[in-house]
Amino acid sequence: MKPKTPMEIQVDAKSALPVYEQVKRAIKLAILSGDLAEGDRLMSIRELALKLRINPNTIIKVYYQLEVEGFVYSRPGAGYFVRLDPGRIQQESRKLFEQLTEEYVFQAAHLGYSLKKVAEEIGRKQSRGSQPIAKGG
Amino acid sequence: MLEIKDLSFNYGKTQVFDGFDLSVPKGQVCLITGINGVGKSTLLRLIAGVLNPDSGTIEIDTGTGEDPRRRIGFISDEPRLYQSLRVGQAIDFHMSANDLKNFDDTLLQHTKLGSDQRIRELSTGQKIILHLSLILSTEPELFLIDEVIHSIDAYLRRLFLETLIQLLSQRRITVVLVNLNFHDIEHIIDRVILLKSGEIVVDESIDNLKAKVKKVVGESPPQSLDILARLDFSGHSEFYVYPFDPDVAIEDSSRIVDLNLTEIVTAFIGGEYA
Amino acid sequence: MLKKEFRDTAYRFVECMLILLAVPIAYLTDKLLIHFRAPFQDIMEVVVMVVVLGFSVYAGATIFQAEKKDRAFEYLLSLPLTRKKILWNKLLPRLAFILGLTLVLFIVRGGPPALNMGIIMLVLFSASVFLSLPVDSVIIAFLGVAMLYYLFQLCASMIYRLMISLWRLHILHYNPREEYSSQVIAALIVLAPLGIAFWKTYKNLDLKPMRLQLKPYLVIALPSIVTVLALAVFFFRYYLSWLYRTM
Repeated sequence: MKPKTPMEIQVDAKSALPVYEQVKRAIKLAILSGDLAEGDRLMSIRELALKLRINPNTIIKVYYQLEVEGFVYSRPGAGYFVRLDPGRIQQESRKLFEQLTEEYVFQAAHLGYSLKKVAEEIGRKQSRGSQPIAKGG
Repeated sequence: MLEIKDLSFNYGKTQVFDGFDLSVPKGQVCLITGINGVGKSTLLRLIAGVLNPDSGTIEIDTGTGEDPRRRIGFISDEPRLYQSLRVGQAIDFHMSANDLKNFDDTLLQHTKLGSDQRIRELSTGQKIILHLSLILSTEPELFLIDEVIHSIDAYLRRLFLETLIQLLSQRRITVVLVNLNFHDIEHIIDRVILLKSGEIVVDESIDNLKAKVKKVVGESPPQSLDILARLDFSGHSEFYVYPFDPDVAIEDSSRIVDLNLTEIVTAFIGGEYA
Repeated sequence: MLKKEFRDTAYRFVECMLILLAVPIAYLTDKLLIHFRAPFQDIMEVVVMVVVLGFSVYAGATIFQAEKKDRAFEYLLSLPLTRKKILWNKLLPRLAFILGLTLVLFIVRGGPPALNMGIIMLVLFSASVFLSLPVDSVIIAFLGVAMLYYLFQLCASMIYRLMISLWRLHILHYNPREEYSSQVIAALIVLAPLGIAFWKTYKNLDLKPMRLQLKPYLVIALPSIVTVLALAVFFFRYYLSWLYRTM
């Protein structure tokens, strides 16, 4: 199978998340959103390390954790492949969504916007009928 | 891979190391940093076998019983090849000293080096790239790189880092880097060691270090958190904190900022750790 | 590494040979312009001898010149070459050139003078190599070797006279072997401490500033030379006059 490139991953040196967490999240997102389908082969450790210009040890850690969490499986000599059953997609997607929400709400609260204000803002977006812009990269 | 035990070394009247210990496992990319003159280059030279320790041991596990220098690729902070040799002769010299026949010139192809040029005629960057090519050709297991990564242009730097990444994934090389600049190399580093007066004051994995050093921006210093450094601006101050504890409460008006490696090391060096 | 050392030695050799070239040019100039009338053969002989001996000292004194000048010791010591191998790679081409010169002399002048010159070249070369670590300037190296040679002569003379007086050897039955043996002993006495100091320093050579590594020279070579000098002075001032008085 032809290996599919995950969405372009940006590694942010100043993020609160360590690098491996950023890469893991990006790959998870790609899997959960369907950009990577069941059975697709992930980039090899060497290739992804070169592409992102990060330590291959980090990629190894990411792939290992993804395997433990059940997002991918490895075939020795062949690489890492996406594994997901549709039921799981829902579950993991929900988890990630909750994580993102948590962060968003926390940051909003820090700005001084209470949960009520957050809900209002979302309501406003809904009524405007605008689709959330898919963030490139 | 590399075991330094009870190392002591002095340069005449200056005692640089006294009972120094360090252990670097195989496959790790270890950064050694600190202010100028703290002994970083000296440490690298001791590991490379170019300086003899006064006491203590430096063990390099290269598997076979051969001369460990055969498996070490060392480049110091100033290019020190024979100046009167031509590039071709320098390559021959290096290959024959290492008992090798083939020289891999992929890096050199990207520079405008003629094999007839004398080393003294080359620019510093060219000399460094030549030296890097030489050490790559010997396929070392332990790379010792002293501050030259930022003396070459960004394109060559990227090429060299890509080569290191390839080697990291293919052969699990070990890299000990001495550097004061972390741009481009931050994500390759596994472990950060900060030296002060011949001693290790910080030794953390880079992820841990980033979790433990934060900037707290506010009007007054955060209570019960150790401050490394502070910068004052009109109206607020920046407090660089180590070790950061997410459970410790800070003022509502303060915010926590994550830092990159440059900011972290600068905070250590600028603060009481230097 | 050997190739580079042969190349470096060849350069030194050419530098010395250029002096030889200067002589015929000077002579021609003289013949055509100045008319001083010194015989060419004689001048040339002296110059050749001086240049050949000078080459031995020059080759020895500059044995680590490339490393010192280019600060390439760091590079050289980082290579997987033992100190022994490095020294051997450096000595071989230089000894080869000295041997070559001896052979040329052998062809031109025959056995005994060639052998004599060969031995002196080796001794001067050794002394220069031993001095190459503590001394940086080639000029001072030449001076140092000259002084050591003078000391060697003093020592040889002292030993020869001692041999004569101790074993009542008559100068009438002059045996060159006795003179040679006194020279060999003298050479050993002068060179050995230096050689030991050199080897001790060289064996542990590292990138520290040279002045911090020269302890063997201070502890072994210097006292020995001073002792030999003192003995020679004592011998020539007091012992001989006492000897003559008692004879």
